[in-house]
Order: sequence, then C-alpha cells, then structure tokens
Amino acid sequence: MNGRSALRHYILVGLGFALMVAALYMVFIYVPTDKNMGAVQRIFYFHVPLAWIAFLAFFVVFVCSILYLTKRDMKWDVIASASAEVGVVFTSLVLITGSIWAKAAWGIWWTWDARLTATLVLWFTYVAYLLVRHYVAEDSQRARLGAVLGIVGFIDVPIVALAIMLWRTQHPGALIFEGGLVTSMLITLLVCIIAFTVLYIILVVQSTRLKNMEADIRNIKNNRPD
Amino acid sequence: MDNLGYLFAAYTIIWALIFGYVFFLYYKQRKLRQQMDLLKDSKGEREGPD
Repeated sequence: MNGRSALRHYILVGLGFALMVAALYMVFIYVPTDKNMGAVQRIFYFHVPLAWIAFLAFFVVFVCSILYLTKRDMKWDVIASASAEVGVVFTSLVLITGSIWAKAAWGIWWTWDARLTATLVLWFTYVAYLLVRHYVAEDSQRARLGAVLGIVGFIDVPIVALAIMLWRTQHPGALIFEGGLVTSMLITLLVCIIAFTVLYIILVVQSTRLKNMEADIRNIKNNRPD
Repeated sequence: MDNLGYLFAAYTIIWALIFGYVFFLYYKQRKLRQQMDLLKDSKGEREGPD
C-alpha cells in the first residue's frame, strides 16, 4: 500500500467508525421506542440496511461478472468474489437478525414464508458461488464459472425484494415507502444505511487487496525455477 | 412487550460476525505477508549478494 492509498484507507476507516458510532447512538438513544413492538423493533435499523447492502453486494457481483465475461480482465473477477464474500456475511446476519425478530414478534424462529425462503435460497446460492470458486484450481476456469454463477444467482435478488408484493407473506411490507415511519426513524435508518455502505466498501477493498496478494504469491511460485 | 434479551442477542451476533470476518481478513493478511517475505528471502538467497 503506497502513501496515498494508505491515507485514503485510514480516512475511510475513520469515516466508517464515526458513522457506526453515530448509527448506534441514534438506534439506542435518539430514536423513540416503537409503540407496538417495544425495544425489539430497534433490530430493524440494522436488519434493513444489512439486507439492502447485501443486495448491493450481489449487484456488484452481477455487474463485475458481466464485465469479466466481456473484457476477460481478472480485476473484475477479484472484485466480484470479494463482494460475494461480504454479501454472504451480510445475508447471514439478515437471516439471523430476522429470525430473532420473528421469535420476538411472531413467537416462532422461522416460517417458510416467501420472503424468508427466497432469502435463504439467496444465501445458499452465494455460498455455492464461494464453494465453487474455492474448489476450482485453474484461474480462468474459476473466474468463468464464478461469473456465470454470479449472473444467474442474481435472479433471486429481485425475487427477494418483490416477494412481499408478489405473494401474501408474514414479513412486514415496505414500511419506508408506505410512510409507516416517523422522521426520526427515517433519519436513523438512513444513517445506518450510509454506515453499512462505508463498512461494505472498506471490507471489499480489503478483501480485494488480499486476493490480489494471493494471486501475486501464486504467480511467483508458478514462475519460480526449481 | 420489550424483549430486551432478543435485542441484545441480535446486536451481539451482528458485531460478533462482523468482527469475526475482520479478524479472518487480518489473519489471512498476516499469513500472506509471511509467505511473501519467505518468497522474497528465498529469491534473495538464489540471486546472491550482487
């Protein structure tokens, strides 16, 4: 990492930290407690941004996969795999926090509701994407297979997003667009979304850097005269 | 209906998983740096002092 990119990295990490502290302050102190659900509704402020950023992560995988197949530049493959990794972490958290919230609100940990099931399928799809990449040894074959999976897998993202409109589900509707949130709740949600977007960028940049380093080591080993 | 235990559990798991992933990246970086240093050292030995 050269001087300028190190400075950029530290600025981004500092900004992410400040935003996360602000987000936590707003979630636990600033925003009023929901009248119907009580304190447990505060899960919403991290659950929703995590889901949105997971969608963003898989959209980045989708775009980078198309770019890889058209340009055959490994740079796009590396970014796609880094974004998928972060997307899987965030989707895992969406499923876990959703399940905890369901237990508090509905009295059950899980139900085979359209939104929940589609999200689980999304998680399995990208875990499969990462596993395929892990087990294919040859670089270009791994990138090609990954790109195809990254494009096909993205089909599930609009299904997850629209499930609440397409089917009768137990999952709450789009409160944000239906005007079901007061201004302070909306502002808190917005700050949380920005904080998680910055966290996503930091993690993808870091993971991309490591994947490039891994590739460099592989190249040195392969070109070394024994 | 406050269910504070559920709220605590949700936020604890969120941070545990995020920190777990950050630690995984840090551990991987350390391992790769060590490998890179080893490769540089072995290259230096092969080429000699000149």
